[in-house]
Amino acid sequence: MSQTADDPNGSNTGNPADLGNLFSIVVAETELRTKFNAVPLQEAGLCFKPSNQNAFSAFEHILAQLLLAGEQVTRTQYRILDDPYGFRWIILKSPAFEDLVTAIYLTAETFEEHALGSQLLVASFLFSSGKQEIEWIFNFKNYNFYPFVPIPGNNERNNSLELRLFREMGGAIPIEPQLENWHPIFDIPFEGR
Amino acid sequence: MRRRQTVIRDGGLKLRMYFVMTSLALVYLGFLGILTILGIPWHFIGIIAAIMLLVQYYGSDKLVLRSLGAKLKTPDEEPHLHAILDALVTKAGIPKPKLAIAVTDVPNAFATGRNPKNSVICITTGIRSRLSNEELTAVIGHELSHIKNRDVTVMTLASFFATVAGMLMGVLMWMSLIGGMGGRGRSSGGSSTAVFMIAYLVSVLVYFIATLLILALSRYREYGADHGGALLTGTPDELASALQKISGVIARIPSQDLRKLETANAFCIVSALKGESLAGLFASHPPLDKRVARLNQLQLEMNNER
Repeated sequence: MSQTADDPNGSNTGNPADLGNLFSIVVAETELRTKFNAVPLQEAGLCFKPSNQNAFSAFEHILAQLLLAGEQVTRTQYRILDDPYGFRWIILKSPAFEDLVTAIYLTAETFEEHALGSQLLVASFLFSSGKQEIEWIFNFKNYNFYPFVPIPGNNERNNSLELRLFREMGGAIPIEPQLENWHPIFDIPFEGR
Repeated sequence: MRRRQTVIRDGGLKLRMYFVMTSLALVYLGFLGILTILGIPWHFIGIIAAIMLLVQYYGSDKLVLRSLGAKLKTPDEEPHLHAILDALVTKAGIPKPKLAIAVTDVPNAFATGRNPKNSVICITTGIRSRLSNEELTAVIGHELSHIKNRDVTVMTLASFFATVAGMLMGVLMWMSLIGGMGGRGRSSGGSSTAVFMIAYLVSVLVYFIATLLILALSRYREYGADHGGALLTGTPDELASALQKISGVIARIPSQDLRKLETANAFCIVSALKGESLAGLFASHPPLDKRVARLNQLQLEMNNER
């Protein structure tokens, strides 16, 4: 189903798993629309663990400049928020889905260029099928996605829809094959909530 | 009246259960016979047996609860679950068991305790977060049915000799290796080694056969508890749906937030280990599709009676 996901060391020909996997969500957008009637909700988030070291605040300064530049060039707005778990979120907003994905990619790439890739946790892309919000979570450890469909109100999730997304979207995006790793990420501070 | 009809259909199951238990008893009697013929001292077997029985009978429930880190909960702490329990025990006509909650993402529920008066029903947070109210009620009905049928006692006694055989296996193996215990008047060192070797092989065989029988017995008991629990709640289909949710593919999807996991790494290892031991437990349960098929059949019968 997803060769890149099965072999993170990339011993299979060509395609070692990397940040480039992020862009598969752009292709999948059309398929999500036709199969699940789901459209992007113009928001995406990147979650990382802040560090107390001085070097890190210098890095965050560089990050802010990058995000500001993105805001001016592509009108991709950004907000930075802390969550109760001690993680920090960069929430991006843009009507153009490709711009959102590119912004997430560039931000994550900046982390890796500064040898801070290990601080990255996940990125989340928000969709809606009208009735339900669907999130695609990208895990920076394995460089693949998994579906997450939270049920509003209580910390529960729609497992059956998630499994359907897994079955039907596996051809379009690299999906984490180990279901045990599909950990929920509740209450991402998106604006539309 | 009609309800009795459905209960009677359970008769075949009871018969098979008695058959398995009789076979077990015969295996154990044969085991004791052979050990006596071989001249293994009675007091030696007796002491091992007595210790194992005491530990299993009095300690196993506390051991299980402690190993899972389960905590007993009062009605004030868990009003909702206690309300479900209250309603069901009244119907079932058994004393109300204690309620324990284990904080683990692995979806599971079990009943333990040596008799209905001393029993505990334990529910994991993983099962509670995955099931609807009706499904949870059905699962509790299943566990109460285990308590009512005294399944814990039956299974403890059934596995008791298998455990003794297992212990003897280890001890005898060791003894035959070092050439037998000295000071046994009747036999010289060489022949006592042979005796221990034979006794060891017999123990292995008994352990193997007993384990197979016990697993069969356990599966019948599961069917029995499915049946009894479904009659108690009147909702076989809810139990079927709960079973599908907790032992199907959905059970593999975690419900713990990734960020919580990343902050407390220690928990990660524990929950991974628990997942494996649960897989082992499932071997003692009948296949999911068969259980679901039986429950669907029961639901059909109930619908027809209405």
